[in-house]
Amino acid sequence: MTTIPTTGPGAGVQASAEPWERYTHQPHWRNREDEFEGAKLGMWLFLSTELLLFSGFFCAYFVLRHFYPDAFRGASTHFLDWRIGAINTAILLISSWNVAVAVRAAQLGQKMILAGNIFFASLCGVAFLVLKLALEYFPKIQKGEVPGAFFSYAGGHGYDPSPYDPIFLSVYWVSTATHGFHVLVGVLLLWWVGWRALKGHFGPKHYTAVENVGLYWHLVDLIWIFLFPLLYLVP
Amino acid sequence: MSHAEPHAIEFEHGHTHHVTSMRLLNTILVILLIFTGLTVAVSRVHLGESLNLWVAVAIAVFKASLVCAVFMHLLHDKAISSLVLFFCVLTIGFFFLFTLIDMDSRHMVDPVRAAPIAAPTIVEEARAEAIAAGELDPAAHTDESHDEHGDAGEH
Repeated sequence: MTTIPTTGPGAGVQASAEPWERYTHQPHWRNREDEFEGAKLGMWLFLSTELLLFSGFFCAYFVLRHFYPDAFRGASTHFLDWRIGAINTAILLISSWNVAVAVRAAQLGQKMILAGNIFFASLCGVAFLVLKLALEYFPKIQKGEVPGAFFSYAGGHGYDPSPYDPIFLSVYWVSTATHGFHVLVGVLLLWWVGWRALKGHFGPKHYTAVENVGLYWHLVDLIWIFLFPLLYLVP
Repeated sequence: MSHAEPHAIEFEHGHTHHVTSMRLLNTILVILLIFTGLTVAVSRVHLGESLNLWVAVAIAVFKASLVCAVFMHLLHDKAISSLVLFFCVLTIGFFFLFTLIDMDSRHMVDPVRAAPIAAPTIVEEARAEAIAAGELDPAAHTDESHDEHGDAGEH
């Protein structure tokens, strides 16, 4: 580790320094602090629009569950395996912890701990998607447990589908697929951050992307915290 | 991660950033996992349709608060971030509130609209039963029929 600047952007930094040590803020900002805080405020505003997007699905869920409680109970119990949902919840919670540790590592200038946690979190995201596709989406499409008018589940296995089951599946598919898309985007962002971390872009004086991608990943986790009990655990 | 745990770093001259301790991050993860188990356990206990739902939502809100406060650093962040989240949640609250008012007052406008909207059903038996019972005109298209005998329930 080379000399760390004490005054002004890039002051006292040697040529061999890591990129984060050489980082200077964009000219339209007063200083790095303003740039960092400004980017974070923008991220929080974006995250609030994400919450508003998902609140529409949750609203639909509450209205439709209120109208068709029996169908929601039956469809949730029969079509969804809570164990897959619980494993996926644990996977996302652990990956959230990894991302929080990664932000801390960036603040402390621990490059390999930062990159390691970011890549492990992205692996968790991939595992989430693989479980979702292999154990839920593909079998469901094959069996016709699909939303609305596409529903073609023939019944059997001692289960008689209610005419309102497709409504539950509509809520399930739209909300989890939108969430799954966010997980996919999050994985790609984590790869980008991890790759930049390996190149030494992030350290105590510059970690905006780690912080903001981290916030995004936590939000994805946050939404799943609500989706899991509401969809998989209808008693 | 043992000795010399810094609580803050100097990001820039005159600006420090809070560093969350490993112990707190670990504690939060353990609590989140325990409460995931708890929400599964509670769903096995029958408390009644609405109480089960509220307990599940309450646990989820608690878990979400921990994620926001510690993982997303709201606890040590500038107030503006919390304010953005607060107004977002407030907006969602109004959104849900007005939806609830609509659901609870539909019957005052039109009795038909108080009933759940009939789903176009793929399950032929349900339709055949309704026709046999004389509740449904066989000529009527499913989309337009007002099936008031769906499994509606007021809880």
